[in-house]
Amino acid sequence: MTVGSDSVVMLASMCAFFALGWVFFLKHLFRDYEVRHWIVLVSFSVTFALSCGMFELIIFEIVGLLDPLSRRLWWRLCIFAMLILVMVVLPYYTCYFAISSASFLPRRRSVRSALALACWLGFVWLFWRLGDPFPILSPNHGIFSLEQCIGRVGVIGVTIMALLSGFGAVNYPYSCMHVFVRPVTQSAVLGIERRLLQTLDLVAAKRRRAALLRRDEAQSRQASGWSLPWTAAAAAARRSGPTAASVESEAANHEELGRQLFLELHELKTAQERAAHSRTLQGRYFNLLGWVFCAYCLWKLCSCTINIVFNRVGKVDPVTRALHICVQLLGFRLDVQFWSQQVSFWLVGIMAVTSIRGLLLTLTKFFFALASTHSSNIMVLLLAQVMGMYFLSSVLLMRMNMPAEYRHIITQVLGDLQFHFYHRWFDVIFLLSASSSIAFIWVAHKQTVGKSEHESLLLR
Amino acid sequence: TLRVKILVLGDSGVGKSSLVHLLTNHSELTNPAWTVGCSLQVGLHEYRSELTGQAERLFFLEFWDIGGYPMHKNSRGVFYHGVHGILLVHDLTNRKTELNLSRWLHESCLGADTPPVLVIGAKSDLCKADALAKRPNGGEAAARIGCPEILLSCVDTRSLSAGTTNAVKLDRFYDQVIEYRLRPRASTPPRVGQAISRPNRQQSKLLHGE
Repeated sequence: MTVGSDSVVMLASMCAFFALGWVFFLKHLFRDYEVRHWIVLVSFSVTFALSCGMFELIIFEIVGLLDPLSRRLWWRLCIFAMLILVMVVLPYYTCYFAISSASFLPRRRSVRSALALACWLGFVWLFWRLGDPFPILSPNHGIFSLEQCIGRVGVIGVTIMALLSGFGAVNYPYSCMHVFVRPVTQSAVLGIERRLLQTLDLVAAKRRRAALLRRDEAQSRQASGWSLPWTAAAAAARRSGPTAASVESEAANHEELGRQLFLELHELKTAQERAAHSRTLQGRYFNLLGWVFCAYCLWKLCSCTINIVFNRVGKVDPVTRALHICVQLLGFRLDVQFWSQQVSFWLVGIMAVTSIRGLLLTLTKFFFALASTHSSNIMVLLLAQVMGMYFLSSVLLMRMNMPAEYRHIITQVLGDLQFHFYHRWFDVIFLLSASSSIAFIWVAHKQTVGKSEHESLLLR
Repeated sequence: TLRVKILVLGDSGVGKSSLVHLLTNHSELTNPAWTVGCSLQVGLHEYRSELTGQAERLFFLEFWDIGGYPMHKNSRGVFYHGVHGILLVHDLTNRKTELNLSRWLHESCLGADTPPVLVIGAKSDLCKADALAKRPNGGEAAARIGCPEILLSCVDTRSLSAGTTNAVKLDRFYDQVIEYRLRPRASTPPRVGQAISRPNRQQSKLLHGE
């Protein structure tokens, strides 16, 4: 297989991934907004295509597809393009759109571009300073080498990965397992609905009064020709009774109470839906998954703690260790080479697919919660940047899970990084994130349980 | 004085709160904040019935401006009872909000008959003039639902000044809503599980007596 035909295969798969990212963006992520700037759509799709391409190259490495030379070439291309995206294109456009949405800045395009460039330079400086305290790489590298950039991107990406994994490992069992489902009675829901409607009645009554008072004030102002606000207030003071403004502020207070009641109602309804879902077949399946995940989370916490406390550096990857156990301790007769390749392929494949899917789901959730009409472009660019850094670091960390003969391509391409540092950093941040998530969720759970007990006491 | 309940529905961020402020206070809303739950504003309208020839009566128009977050969908149902008119608001700069209007109408119409509906296209000041010219008689959503449409800008108080086409259409809508409210119809029994709010006598005295 020549470099030419391999490149055709790689290009075709990249185009397929690009199309996938495009469709995901238009049909799912941006379904409530209109795409007004095509650069946002293109940069998101290109980031997604490059990320999937990197995973694909790892798989090809394991299976032995394509010429090694063309693989190395495509690796370098992917890494270089990803770095340019994550460090140059995405931050610059984020700054540009942030400046465009600020209404107090001038509207001319040249001014905006210059300001965006200045912000981008600030970002690059900050990015550089971020990596100084970390023992990222050995001292025999220049200032602007590839390894410096990858090292810094890797630190940020590994931090994000560990934070998300830590929180996800704790939150997923909590949201799936039935022991945490809060029982909500229909009478509690009806009670809150009744109180909400009563509060809105109060608000309506006050605002009706304010509307009449405003009309009277406007008529009296027209009749006597006064147009100054303090004379109108003086006239109102002479007329005994409240002004429209004071009644309006009372109504605003009641409306605030109504807002709190609405949020409480929303919580109760969500809990009710969850309880109903837990009784279905799908709910039971998720419950089982929740228990499995709970066990995985505890095991991971223990192993992270042990790694940190004993400063253990894993030399052997899980695949080789599992095969070693099978052959030597259990006495199976296996062709280690063949099975090592198969198991690595399936392991890496599953890890790649689940991490892509998991990240896309998390990013979508963040986007739907935080985006609005004004900030949709900026949010998507930030999410694309997070996605790029995340996938670059997951390639870095995946090196640990592969047998030695497949590791060297990553080592070659990413340069001479201190890989052990990244694993240690991941363990530390994972531990911090998981323990603070446990604390946070425990406190929130205690609060909601206390509130529902209080309400059921009131109703009785 | 009688009251009518008008729902103001639409996606998040289209300008419902600004619109309601314009309709009730006739001025621009200077610091719009996200609407959580429901924000209630009241306006006044004088109704003269041509059929009975009675004198003008003053009506309270209660605008129930409901926040458009997708995640609050399960709790919004409590607001949809006893509705006499619906204002569907969409953003002229974002076509997706117009396509979602039929979903909003479907979500809020609980009974067999639909109250009068008016479609309003907001943010016309941010839209190009030729895009506005293409829709003199209402866009897609209005055509599909079968109701009139108004295009306006919530920051421009002149869009609804007396005598403009917009003001005429709005007045006609208010009249239709009041006629819907006044027409005699068989009382429907409350649905199972519906909360019935009866303010107690002390509260009524405080609110209405004075």
